Amino acid sequence: MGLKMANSKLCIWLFLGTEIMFFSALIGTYIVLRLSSVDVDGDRAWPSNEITHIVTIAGAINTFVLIGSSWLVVKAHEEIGRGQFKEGLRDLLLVFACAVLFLGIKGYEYHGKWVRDILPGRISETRLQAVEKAVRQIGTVAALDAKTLGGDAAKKALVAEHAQLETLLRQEKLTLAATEVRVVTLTKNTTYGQLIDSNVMMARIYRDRTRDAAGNLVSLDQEHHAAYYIPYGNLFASCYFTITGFHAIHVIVGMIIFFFPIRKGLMGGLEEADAQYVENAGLYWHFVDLVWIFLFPLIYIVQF
Amino acid sequence: MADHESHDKIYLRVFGALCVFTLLSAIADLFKEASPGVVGVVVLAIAVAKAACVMLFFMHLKWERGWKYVLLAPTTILAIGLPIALMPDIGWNYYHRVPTETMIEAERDNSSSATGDQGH
Repeated sequence: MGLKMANSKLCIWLFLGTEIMFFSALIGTYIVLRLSSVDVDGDRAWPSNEITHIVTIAGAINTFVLIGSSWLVVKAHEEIGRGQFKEGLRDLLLVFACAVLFLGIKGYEYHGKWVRDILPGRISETRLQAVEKAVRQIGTVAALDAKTLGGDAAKKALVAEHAQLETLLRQEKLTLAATEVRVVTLTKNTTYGQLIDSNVMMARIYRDRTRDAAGNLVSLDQEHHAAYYIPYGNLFASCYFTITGFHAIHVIVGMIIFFFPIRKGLMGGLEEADAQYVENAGLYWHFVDLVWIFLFPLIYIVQF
Repeated sequence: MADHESHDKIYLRVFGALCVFTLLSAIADLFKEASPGVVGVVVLAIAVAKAACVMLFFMHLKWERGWKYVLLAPTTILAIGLPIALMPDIGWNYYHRVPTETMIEAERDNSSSATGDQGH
């Protein structure tokens, strides 16, 4: 009676069945939201990789890392099953190292988004929102104490500048181009220029824009100033961080799962019976790899 | 022992195939600007091929018995069903812009009916 397989393996497969539905719900929702994000002309308007700082090469390297780790897991399983514990332990340690490397690269990618404020709920999606955000952030700097800003006179000048910008904003007279000029001018101030540069996101994005041979700014998109506001940017950020975040959590859980046989191996206690544990852990790990295999093209490459 | 060796060889070959597939995806990315539609189809087809390799060989489904169908068929159906279920309300309607004319007409209708109410 029953299936001719270990109960633990059956349990892992049942668990993976729920995991398939969990991730396909996330990925399916992402595809539907992305396909339905259109501009006023009805064309697809999902933000491009350049605008959202998606680094394809980082995603490709991470794919290699996970594929390599999947191969190492099946190797470790075979080796432990036939009593080659030293080799099995070595491969498990390499799997753990791959997981650390994967999270390191993901952390690098997350950092790139963090410093540019490409985070859910923080992205300006219209020109007006971009102007409002810049004025608000100048206000944050202007609220700092006089000593930090370089003296009473400097603070007074910045507060006055901010008040003037707010007035223009309320009167709907402040354009994006004019705001850019004001922000760039403020960054050149000898006392508080550095604070404006590091606290006002518009200054950061201005610096990010590439220049041609003559030193003139080249806009990131067809439209000038396009990088200051990202239509559907918040939806993108929510999808990106939810999906890749849940995947990263699964990688961390995988590291915890592999920690136990590694510890046992380091203490010289691995035995052939542990091959079953490694096989089950491997099934979970392959699933984590499988999810990434679909996330890589869907997030980093496909433009639909 | 020979069986073990053949398994090891299979795993190595699958690993090699997965690396080649990933490289092909990265190369396809270079042509994204020229023909995004074709590149999209190609990289997704490559992803399916990679997933099949991982599931069949690394997850041993090629050598497992019939239970795999019982377990995976319902989950696959539900997984495909969810995006389809989302399409009518979210995909087709939620983010689509309501044509401006329709909005103006609706506003006009509302204001005229409000005026009509006042008249009574």
